[in-house]
Amino acid sequence: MVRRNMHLSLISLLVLTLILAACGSDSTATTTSGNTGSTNPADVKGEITVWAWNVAAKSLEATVPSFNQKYPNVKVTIQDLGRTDVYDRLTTGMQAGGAGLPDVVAIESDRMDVYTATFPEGLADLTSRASKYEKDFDPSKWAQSKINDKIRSIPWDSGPTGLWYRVDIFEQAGVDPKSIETWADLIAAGEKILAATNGKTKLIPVDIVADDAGFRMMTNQLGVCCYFNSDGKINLTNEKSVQALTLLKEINDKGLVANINGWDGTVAATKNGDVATVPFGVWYSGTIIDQAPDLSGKWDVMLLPAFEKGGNRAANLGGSTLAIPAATKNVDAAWAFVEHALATNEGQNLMMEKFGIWPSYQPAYSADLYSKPVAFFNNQPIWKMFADEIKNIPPATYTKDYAKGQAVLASAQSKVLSQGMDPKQALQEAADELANQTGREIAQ
Amino acid sequence: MAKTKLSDDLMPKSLVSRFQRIMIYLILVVGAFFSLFPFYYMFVQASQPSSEVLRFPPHLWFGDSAWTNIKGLFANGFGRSLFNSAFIAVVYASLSVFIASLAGYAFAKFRFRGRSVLFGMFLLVLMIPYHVTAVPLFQLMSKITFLGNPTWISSYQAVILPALANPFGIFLMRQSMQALPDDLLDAARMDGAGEWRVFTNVALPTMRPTLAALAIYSFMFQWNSFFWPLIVMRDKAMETLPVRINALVGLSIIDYGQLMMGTALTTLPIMMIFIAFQRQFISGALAGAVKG
Amino acid sequence: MGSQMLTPAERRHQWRRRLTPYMFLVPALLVFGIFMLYPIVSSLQLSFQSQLNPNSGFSFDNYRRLLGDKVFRKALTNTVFLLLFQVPLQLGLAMVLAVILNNAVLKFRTVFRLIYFLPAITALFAVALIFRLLLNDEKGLVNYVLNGLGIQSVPWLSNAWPAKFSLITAITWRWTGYNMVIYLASLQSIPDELYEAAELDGAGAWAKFWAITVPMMRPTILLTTVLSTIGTLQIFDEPYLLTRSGPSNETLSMATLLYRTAFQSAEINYASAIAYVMVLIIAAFSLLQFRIAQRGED
Repeated sequence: MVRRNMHLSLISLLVLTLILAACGSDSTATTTSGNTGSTNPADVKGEITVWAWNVAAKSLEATVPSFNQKYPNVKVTIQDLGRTDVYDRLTTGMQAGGAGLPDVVAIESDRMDVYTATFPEGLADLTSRASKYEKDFDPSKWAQSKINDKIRSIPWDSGPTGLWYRVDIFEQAGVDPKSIETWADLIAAGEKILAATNGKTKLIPVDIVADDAGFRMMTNQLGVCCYFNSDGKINLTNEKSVQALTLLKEINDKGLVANINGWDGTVAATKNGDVATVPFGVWYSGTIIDQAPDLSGKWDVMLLPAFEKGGNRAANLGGSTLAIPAATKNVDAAWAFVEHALATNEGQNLMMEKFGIWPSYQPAYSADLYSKPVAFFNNQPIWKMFADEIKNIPPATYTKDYAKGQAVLASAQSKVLSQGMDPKQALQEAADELANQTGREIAQ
Repeated sequence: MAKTKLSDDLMPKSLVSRFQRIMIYLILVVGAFFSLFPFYYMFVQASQPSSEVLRFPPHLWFGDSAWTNIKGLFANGFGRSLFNSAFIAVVYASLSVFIASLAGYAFAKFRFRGRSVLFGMFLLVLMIPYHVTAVPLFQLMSKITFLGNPTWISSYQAVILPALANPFGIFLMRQSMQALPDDLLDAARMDGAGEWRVFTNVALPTMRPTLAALAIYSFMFQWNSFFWPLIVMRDKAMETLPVRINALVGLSIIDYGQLMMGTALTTLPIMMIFIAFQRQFISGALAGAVKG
Repeated sequence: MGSQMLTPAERRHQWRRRLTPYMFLVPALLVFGIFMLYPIVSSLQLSFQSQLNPNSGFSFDNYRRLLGDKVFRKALTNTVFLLLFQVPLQLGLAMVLAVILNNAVLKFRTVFRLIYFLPAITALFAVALIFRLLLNDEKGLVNYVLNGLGIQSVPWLSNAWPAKFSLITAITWRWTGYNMVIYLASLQSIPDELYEAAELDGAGAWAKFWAITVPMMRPTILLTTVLSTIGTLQIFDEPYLLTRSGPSNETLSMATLLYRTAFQSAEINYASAIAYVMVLIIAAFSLLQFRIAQRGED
C-alpha cells in the first residue's frame, strides 16, 4: 500500500511535468500583418509600452506630449532599463514566442543581427510602412535595419565619430588642432603633449584588454568594419585591418595610450586630464557634459584623422534602433509612435536638443540648432560637422556573431599592445579563432 | 547553543602571552578593516554628486549630495520598488519557512518509502545553474492563466513561487528536527493529538530559533535576488530594487551618485536586520552544519 | 503486508499514519514539481534540440559542438583552477579565524564575528562597482595607495594573473566570514573533556587541533567543502561583475559563458547543453568529495 502511495505521488508528479512540458513546447512565433494604413490619427487607439535605456528613455518621454497631440487616443508608457537588461528580457520573451514583450523596444544597432538571425520573424516587418523614408535616413544605419530586403527596425540615433580634444592642453603644448589631418600628424601632436605635460597627459584612452572601439572606428574609416564582410565571411586578414591595428600599436609603442578599464575608466581619464583626446561617437558629448561640468569650454571636436592626406575621415561608432516586436497587438499605434519620434524633425530634434541623441534622420539637420555654436564645446558649431559627416560613413557589417568578434579582437588587441605580437599574426590568429567559434569561413 | 566557556581549547589562558594577544588583535583588526572598507567607500560615494565619483584622487570623506541622490532615486520609482522588494521578501520568507518546516519534519521524523530519493531530489536543485531554467520558467509564467491573471508575468507570485521549495531550508529544517526527541511527539500522540496538531503544537514551537534564522536567510536571498525578478517583472510598477537600480546604467551616461546611493540604500536594511538579529543569522549558518 | 489481519478502523489508522509524511511533503513537492522539475526537464529537452530547426527531433549536436569549443574548455579550466585555489584558501582562512575567535580570552569577539560575516549578506551587484573603482589600473584607490608606498601599480583587472588574483580576493572577501561562523559553531560543540584528556597526555595546541578538532569537525568540513565547491563551480557574480570575464576570457567561468550564450547571443539550446555538462561536473566533484570523506572515516 505504501508502495502504491509512493508510486502515485511520483506518477502524478511525472504526469504533471509532462503536461507542463507539452504545453510549453509549442513556441511558434507570431507574425503580424503588414500595413493596415489607417489614415485618421484619431482612429489609432491603444496602449503601448516602450523599453529603452535611461537617458534614451527620457528623450522618448519628451516626445510623448507632441505625439499625443497628433494621436490623442494612444497611451504611451516608457520604461527605462539597464543596458544589458533589455537584452535579457528581450531574449527570454522572444524564446517564449513573444510573451511579455513591449510594443516598441530599443536595440543597439550592432545587436540587431542577433535577434533577426535567431528569431527571423520575431520583429515586425516594417517594409511597407517604412520604405518611403529610406532616402531620409543615415545610409549606413538603414543598411543595418534591412535584413533580407525587409525592414525590421528604424534607425534611431547614429554615432558619427569625432576626435574630442582638450583645447587648453593643445594650447599649452603649442599644437594647432587645425594642422592635424592624418593619424601621423596626431601622433606627432601626442608626443608634443606628452612632453609638455611631463608625461601626465597621454593621447588616447584604450581599454586594451576589453574593448576594441579604436580598431572598429579605424576599420570603419577604411571600409572593412566589423570583422565580417557582406557575405558573412570573416574579414580580418585584409591589408586594411592590419593597417588599423598597426596604427594602434604605433600609438601605444610611443607611450601615448592610457590603458584604462571599462567605461568608468574612460570617463575617469576624460575628466581627470589623463588624455588630451578621445576618439568616440557623437554621443560622448553627453557624457563629457554630464561628468566633467568643470571643463566647460575646454573641449572641442574634429573629425578623426585620415590614414593618408585627403583620405576618409568619417566613421560610425554605436547608435541604436527602435524595433516593434511582432507579438504586439498594437502595430499601428507602435508604428505611429516610432514614426513620430524618429521620422519627423519635431521628434528627433526634441531628443537632440534636450538629450543629445543624434538623429539618424537627416532632414532634421536643417534646423537652426545644427549651425549654432555650442558654449560647452569651445563655442564651436560642432553639430554641423557631424551632420556633414553622416553621408560619408562607409557601411559596416555586424552579423549575429559580432559579440564573439568583439571578444576575440579585444584579445588580439591586447596581444599586440601588451605583448608586442605582430599585428598581422594576431589578426590571423583572431580569424582562426573566430572561425572555430562561429563555423564561418575566412575571406581571402 | 553549546557552552561558551570551552573556548580556550586551543589557546589556554596561560599560553597566550601579552605579545601573542597583541598580534592576534592586530590580525583581527586588519581583517576587519578589509571587511568593512568597501562598505565605507560605498557610503562615501553615495554622498557624492555623480560627477565626483570618478574623481582622482578619490574622495575618502562624505560629500554633500546624499539628499540630492536620494531625491533623484525616489523621483524614478525607487519607492515603489522598495515596497515591492520588501513585500516579496516578507511573503517569500514566511511561505518558504512554512513549506521547509513541513518538509523537514517529514524527512526527519518519518520513515517512508522514497525518503532518500525525494530528499536527494530537493538537494539536486543546488547543482542546476539558475540561468538555464529561467527561459522555460518564464515560458511557464506566460502561460499560467488561473488566479484571475491573464498571465503571471509581472505578478508577485511569479517571483515568490519558483524558489519556495528551498533546498537549503529543507535541509536546515531536517537537521534541526532530527534533534527533536521522538518521545515528545509520541507522548502527544498518546494524548490523542492528530499528526497536524503534533506538528503545530509540539514540533514547531521548539524550532523557533531555527525558524527565525531560516526566515531571515530567506528574506535576504529574495531581497538580493536580481536575475529572475529582472526577467519576469516586466512592468515598471512591479520591479524590485536591484532591477530598478540597475536601470541607472545607461548606454553612455551613468548616474554614479544615484547608483551608489541606490546600492547603499539596498544594503542598509539588510545590514540593520543583520545587526538586530545577528544571533539568529549565526545560528542559522550553523544549525544545518553542526550535526552534519 | 499483513494488513488483512487488522480491523477496518486499525487499517484506516495505519493508512493515515503511512500517508502522513507524504501529506507534509505535498506543498514542497507541488512547488518543486511545477517550478523546478518542469523547467529542468524542459531545458534538458532544449539542450537536445537544434536552435534554428527545433522540430528536427532529438540531436546531440549541441553536446558535440561543446566538445570542440575552445571557449568552453577555457571556462572549464578557469573554473577548476578557481576551485583548486579558492576553496582551500577560503576554508583555511575561515578555520584560522574561527580558531582565533573561539578563544574566550579575546574581547569584542561578537563584534569581530559580525564584521567578518557582513560581506556574506550583501548582494554583489552592490559592491562590484566599488571593487572596480578600487582596483582600476590607473585610477584605482588600491594602486594609488601602492604608489604612495613606492610600489608600482598592478594591473588588477587587465592582466591575466592579477585579474585571477582580484577574483579570488573578491570571493574570499565575501565568503570567508560565512564559513568562519559555521566553523565557530562547530568548534563550540566539541566537548571540553576531549581537550582536557589530551592535555593530560601532554598534547600541544597543534597536536590537539589535528587529533581532536579536525576529526570532530569532519562533517562540518565536508559540508562546507561541498557547498563551496558547488558555489565555485557555478560562480557567476564575481567574474561577471568584477572582472567582466577578462582579460581575454582569463576569468571567464562556466556560468558566465552560459549566461552570455543564452541571453546575449540568444543561443538558448547550446547554453542548455553547457548547463547540463556543468551539472555533470558538479555532481562528479560532489560525489568525489563524499567518497574521499567516507574513506577517511573507515
